[in-house]
Amino acid sequence: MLYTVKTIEDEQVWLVELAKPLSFDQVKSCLRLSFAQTYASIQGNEYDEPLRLHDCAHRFFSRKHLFVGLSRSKQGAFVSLVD
Amino acid sequence: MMLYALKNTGCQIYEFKTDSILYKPRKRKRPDLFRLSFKDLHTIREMYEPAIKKTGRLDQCCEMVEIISDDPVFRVEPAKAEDMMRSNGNMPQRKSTVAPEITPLTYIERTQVDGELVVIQGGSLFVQGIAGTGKSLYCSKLVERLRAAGVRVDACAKTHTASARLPDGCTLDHWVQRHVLNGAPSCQVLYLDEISQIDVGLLALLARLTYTPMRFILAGDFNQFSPIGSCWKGTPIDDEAFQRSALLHRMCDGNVVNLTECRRADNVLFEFYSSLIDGGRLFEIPVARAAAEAWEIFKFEGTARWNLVISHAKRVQLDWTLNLLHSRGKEVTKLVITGHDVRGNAAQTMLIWPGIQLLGH
Repeated sequence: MLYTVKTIEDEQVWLVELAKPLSFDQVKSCLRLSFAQTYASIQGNEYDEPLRLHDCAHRFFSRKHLFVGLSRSKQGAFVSLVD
Repeated sequence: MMLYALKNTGCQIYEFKTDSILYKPRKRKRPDLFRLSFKDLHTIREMYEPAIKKTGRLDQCCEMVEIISDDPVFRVEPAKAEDMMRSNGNMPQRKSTVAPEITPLTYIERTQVDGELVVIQGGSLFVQGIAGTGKSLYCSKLVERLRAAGVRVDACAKTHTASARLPDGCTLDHWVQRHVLNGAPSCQVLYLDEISQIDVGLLALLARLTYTPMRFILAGDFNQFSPIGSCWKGTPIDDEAFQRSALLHRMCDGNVVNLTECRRADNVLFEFYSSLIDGGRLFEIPVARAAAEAWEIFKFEGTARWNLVISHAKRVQLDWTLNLLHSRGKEVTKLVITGHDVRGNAAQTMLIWPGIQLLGH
């Protein structure tokens, strides 16, 4: 699930989705960057924004990776593939 | 009595059956069982183990009662070849060569309206269709309608990602722990999304529920990822096993709604990825060629917000690169991770700022 940072003050991070702030330690242990995700973890998601499929020449890259990866996007114009 | 007599005369026992014993007597010390009559039974011990003179026996005060009869106790006859016990010491083998008759599973394909009616009237349903055809949307509306009618519905999916999008959803592992292993389900209908990802361990637990009045709404696409490491007692389970199983048929009562209309992507994208599955024009060609073809069609050149990778190592590396890229010109706070926490696919050092989206894990 995605959480958007609202403000950062006094070593506390306020998130749009939560009523209470999180400490820096809680953020470090419970949240992570969302720019990149594994293919296996995105089944069930859909994206409006640009999507890039990496590892297309990887030895473990399969038809299912290609199918699941491409089918997450809503617009073909926002999709690209790289090795 | 017979065993006692045979043991004390040193006979060799060949066969021990319910009603007879095959034995070989010693030449000098024969048991003489044919001479034994019922009136001798109470003194049989004196016959084979006579007491030493001037000594007593521990049981001399509780002697056996004499049976007044001259009838012989045992029949003793010389053994014949046909007396030998007949047995087959080989491993059991199936003699029949006729293959078992397996009745093919027949599914009733229903329209969307019919499928909805089936569920409203108390049936179960399997909603299938490739990615982006609106399975989850269709089922969510169905769940809302059932809940509005006062039916208790629980919604689950295998992964956190999929379950977060369900109406009041939770992960299937959590639901099974709470309602199957450590309790009883309180819902009347169980909605399972992304069923292709459910492993055999969970399916075995869900199979119990098919013998209860509980009904199921299933949604999924078997062209997508199958469960990771699904195995039963050390034996890997075939990816298509659940799709072909009688369990799936039983869970949905044989009712299927097949969604084919694209509701997510544009036509170019939908036509391309729908041609990758069985029956499509790209299904037979190697994946590298299919990827090369996709490469030619989909050529977005800007910075992508979402990046998909195979390994966590590459995810961590790419996340950090893009984190630095997107942080330019922003007032950032650096959260530094050190020590053991850095290992594996756990937390990593990151720069955060108001507006950045982070993933809960």
